[in-house]
Formats: sequence, C-alpha cells, structure tokens
Amino acid sequence: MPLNILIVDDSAVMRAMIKKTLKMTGIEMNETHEAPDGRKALEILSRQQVDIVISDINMPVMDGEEMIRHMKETDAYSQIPIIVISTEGSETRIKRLIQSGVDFIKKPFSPEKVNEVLNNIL
Amino acid sequence: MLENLTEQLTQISINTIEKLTFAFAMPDEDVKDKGFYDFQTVQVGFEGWFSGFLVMKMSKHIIPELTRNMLGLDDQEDVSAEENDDMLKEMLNIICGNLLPEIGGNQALFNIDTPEIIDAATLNSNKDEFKLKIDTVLAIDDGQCQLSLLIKEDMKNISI
Repeated sequence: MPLNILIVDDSAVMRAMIKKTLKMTGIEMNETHEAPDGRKALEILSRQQVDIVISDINMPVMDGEEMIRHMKETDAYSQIPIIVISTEGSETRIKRLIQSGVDFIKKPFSPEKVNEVLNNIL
Repeated sequence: MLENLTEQLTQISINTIEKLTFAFAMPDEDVKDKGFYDFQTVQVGFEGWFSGFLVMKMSKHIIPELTRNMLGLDDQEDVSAEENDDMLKEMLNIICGNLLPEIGGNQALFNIDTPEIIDAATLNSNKDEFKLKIDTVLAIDDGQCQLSLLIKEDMKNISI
C-alpha cells in the first residue's frame, strides 16, 4: 500500500534530499508532507493521514524530541513509526531516542541505510 | 594532536561533502591562501565539553552545482540563493555534528547552534578568545573549500 510520509526538517534542502532518497529506495509513496519544525508537523498530523514520520532533532520552534514526546503521548499518533535523521553524535542522546521507540539514522546518510530502516519498519 | 585534529577535520569534511553532493573532494594544500576564489562563508557555534566555532568558506562559483547535486537536479535547472545558503548551512551542520564526537568521544555532549551565513569581513573579529585553531583546505572541482575549527579551551582538556 502506498505510504503517506511526513518529513520534518528546518532545512528545505534537506527535506528535498530526503524526498529524493525515498524515491531512490523504490518505496511506494502516496503523499509526502513537509514541515520545518515539530509544531507544524503536529498540525499536519492533526489533519492528514500519515504512515511514517521522518524527522530531524535540532529545529527551531519545537524540536524533534518534544514532537516525538507529543506523538507518543497522543493515542492517535503513538503507533506511527518515526525515523530520526540527525547529526546527533552523543551516544547518551541517541540511546534515549531509541528507547523512546524511534529508529535513528545519522547524517550524512545513504539510500541503502534509509532502505534498510524502512524495510525493518514495514 | 594537531595533526590528528587536522586529519579528522579533513576526512569528515571530505566524507560529508562527497555523500551530500557526490562531488569529489581532496586535500588542497598547494593553493592554500592564494586568494584565487570568491568565497561564501558560513559558521556554526557549539558548546559542551569544549566550545567554539566551525567556519567554512566555499568558492561561490561551485555552490550552485553542489546544491543541484544535493537536490538531484539537472545542470540546467536553477537554484535560488536561499537554496544555496541552505545547502551550505546543512553541510556545515553535518560536518560539525560528526566532528565533535569524533574529537570528544561519543559520550561527550554538545549543543550545536543554527549555522549562519556571515560576512567574511567580520569573521573571527576576536581571535584572541580561541586557544586552538585547526585548518584544512579541500579542492572540489575547480573550486576550494576552507574549513577552520576554533576552540576556546586549552588543548590539554581535549582527549582523542
């Protein structure tokens, strides 16, 4: 079934690059939504059907960790798979993210890595 | 230690540039400081186990090509100044995010600021506040990328 994907990153160029990478993986996509921060992402989630969220962590307005917390605490979103794509290098922070139930990909990323994580989720 | 830091900065920068833009980058010591290129400058500040700035100067004439490569666009397609700046900021953010744990270890915590495009004329106006400066120069196509890591703390506080 084609997926509706929400890409959250404050860099428009990075959002475009993630979108391009998703196309390269061959994943079947229906709609892709984009948000520059966690707050906008939650607004999109409230009115759109989303199957997977791909998000950065360091963003203005609402960062990725806060957005993930909101999603996990909200019944309607708590089961949506989340992939964090970030430059985060601290093992402590990465462990905390993974323990919260998300998959983690470090930037710069390869299409192969994105494909591997998507295959594990789907 | 200085050689190790320079090598880390060089290798992480090359790896990031190549993965993001598919452009071939290599150390370019021969043309260092000859001033051949008109540069766009971007910097990012960081704080944590040690603090400072990472500064990147990229030859302006190669930036649109790097942006097109990153976005997967054809050679003839236009990219905006905003997209070019965004590409440079993201590139520096990724280099910084990979470099700091490489130097400080993956247990070290750092907070990285939002990268900003700056006027080269105002760059490093207060050089005295930095105890350590590491430079590397890369050749990318017929352009150049200069990176400088500026650290405020004394070297003895940094373990590799």
